[in-house]
Amino acid sequence: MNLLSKSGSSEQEKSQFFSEIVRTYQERIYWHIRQMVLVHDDANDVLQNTFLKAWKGLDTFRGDAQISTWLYRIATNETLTFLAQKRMRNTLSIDETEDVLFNAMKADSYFDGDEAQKKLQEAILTLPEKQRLVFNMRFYQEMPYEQMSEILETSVGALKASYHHARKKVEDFLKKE
Amino acid sequence: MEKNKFIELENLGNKRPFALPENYFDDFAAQMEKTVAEMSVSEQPQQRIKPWMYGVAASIIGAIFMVQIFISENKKKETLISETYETYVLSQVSENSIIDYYLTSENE
Repeated sequence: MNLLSKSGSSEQEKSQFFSEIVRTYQERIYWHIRQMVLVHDDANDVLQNTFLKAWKGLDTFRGDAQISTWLYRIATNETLTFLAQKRMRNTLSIDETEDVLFNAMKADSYFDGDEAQKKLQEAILTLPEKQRLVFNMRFYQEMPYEQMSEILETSVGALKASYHHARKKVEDFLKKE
Repeated sequence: MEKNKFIELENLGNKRPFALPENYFDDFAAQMEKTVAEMSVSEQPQQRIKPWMYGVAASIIGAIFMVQIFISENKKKETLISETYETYVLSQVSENSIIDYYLTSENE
């Protein structure tokens, strides 16, 4: 069934339905993005792009997947694209990107963590991008593996293994002086 | 407190160390509603042009082009007919008659 048949077909009904989607999911989607890009202004930009993509795709979205899964997928793609563009714009290697993100996070006026929290973020940044995504979704959002599996289109078993490895790496980093 | 104690992930917990501007989500939702409303208005004129309208426009341009070709071809035919008629009339008049005609008109 087409999502719009639930929302109504007129422009006004569509806008109203979209507005409900934004108000319902914006917070969850924001934190999903922010945890990856770390800086508030960047998260705000990616969140805007995510909902603009969702608005443009609303006519064609079929209710096969849940709205939340659909939005998380768009947000994940937008976030990874944003990070790739940032790397390309500044011709950075992956290691340099970690440093740039970490320094930007420390300088961000909306970072309010202590030294231990800074070290945890530094540890998380050492993970490969996809593993970082898995770690954040499980550790911070406490998302069930089944939902993560739908969003990332990866098997539950692979996600469990990925989270286990990620957690081990983070713990090892934190144990370093 | 021990200064060199290792940081344990369990002890840190999963509270995010990030803050937000005041009323961020209310402002964001309002801004999105505004952006989407503006996009709807700007998209409307484009939506009125349906794909079949491009076909109709192409057909009209084609028809105008064909009419122009038809008119110019007709003009060419008319010119050709009048030229052919003059040649025919002249061919029916003898050479002596033509000479007489010129001599008479010169004398006049």
